[in-house]
Amino acid sequence: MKGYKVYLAVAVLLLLALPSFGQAVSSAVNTPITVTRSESITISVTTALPTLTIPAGVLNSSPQNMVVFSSWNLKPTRTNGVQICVSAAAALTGSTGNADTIPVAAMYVTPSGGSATALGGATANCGITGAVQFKSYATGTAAQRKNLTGQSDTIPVQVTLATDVTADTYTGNLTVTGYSN
Amino acid sequence: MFVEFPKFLAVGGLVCALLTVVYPLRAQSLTVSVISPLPNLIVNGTSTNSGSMTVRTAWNAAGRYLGWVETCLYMNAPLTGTGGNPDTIAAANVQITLPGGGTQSIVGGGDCGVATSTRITWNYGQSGNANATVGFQVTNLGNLEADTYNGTVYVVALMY
Repeated sequence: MKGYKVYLAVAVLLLLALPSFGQAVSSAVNTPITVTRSESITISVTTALPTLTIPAGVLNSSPQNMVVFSSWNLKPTRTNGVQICVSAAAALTGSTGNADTIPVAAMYVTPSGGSATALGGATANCGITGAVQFKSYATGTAAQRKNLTGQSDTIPVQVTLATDVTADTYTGNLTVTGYSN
Repeated sequence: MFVEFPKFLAVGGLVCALLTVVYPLRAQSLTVSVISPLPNLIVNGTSTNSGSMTVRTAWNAAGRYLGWVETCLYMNAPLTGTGGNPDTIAAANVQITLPGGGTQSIVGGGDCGVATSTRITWNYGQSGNANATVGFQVTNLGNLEADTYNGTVYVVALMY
């Protein structure tokens, strides 16, 4: 009788220790997820520069306006603003057989709030030597850096010759640049 | 008054007890690892391109569990940018494509015993390992500031 008591006690105790088939959770492993939104500055000319006419007997044209639309989305480190600049890589040339040109330095842009400034100077603006900075926009805040609605700038351009040129139509290209560093 | 306990039951109990002692000696284990991490996802418009990551689950139920193993993903926080960028990407915008097909937000119903986790795969067996490749794409981004947004995806497994 006493032996069975021992059996019973041991069996009950050990049965209680049977596996419970519960749950086990692993340690969590983490891995990075990275999303990159690239920067952008978009420039477009919404109103092209009209023909600049140099009347007979004078060396300069009246200013004419071109309208430029710009928008941008910059990363947080771009706190030095966005600059809008105008430059020209080459002189304006006439028609076939006309050796005269209108040099880059004869083209003037009037910066916002400033006075007419010749292109082709020694100073670099927007990372381009000879470019004239028309305007600079602050980018100190997140809203300023993410200017997706954009804005228009009206940029006056004129020609002032140092020496007269043959009567002709002279053509060339201006480059408008948006820049941030 | 003590009632006699049948000897065969007592012996059976001892056998079970022995099994109880023996099984735990075979250590159970359950681990997860990321064997192919997620590449950088690039925003194009209002969503990113697609990328994938592969996770491995290894387990040994060791007789202590039935051998069902589920592996889950979850995120605890949105992706955040740098510096003074206030924009964030909500975890709910992270879409995952399961190995078996189907796309859903990584924010799920709470599998693997973790709130908001999403089960990506099931496995069964007393021991084994299995890889699962999950596709990722982030959607509905709106107008985020240009930046690099960082977050953390967690992998966890549950065995029972």
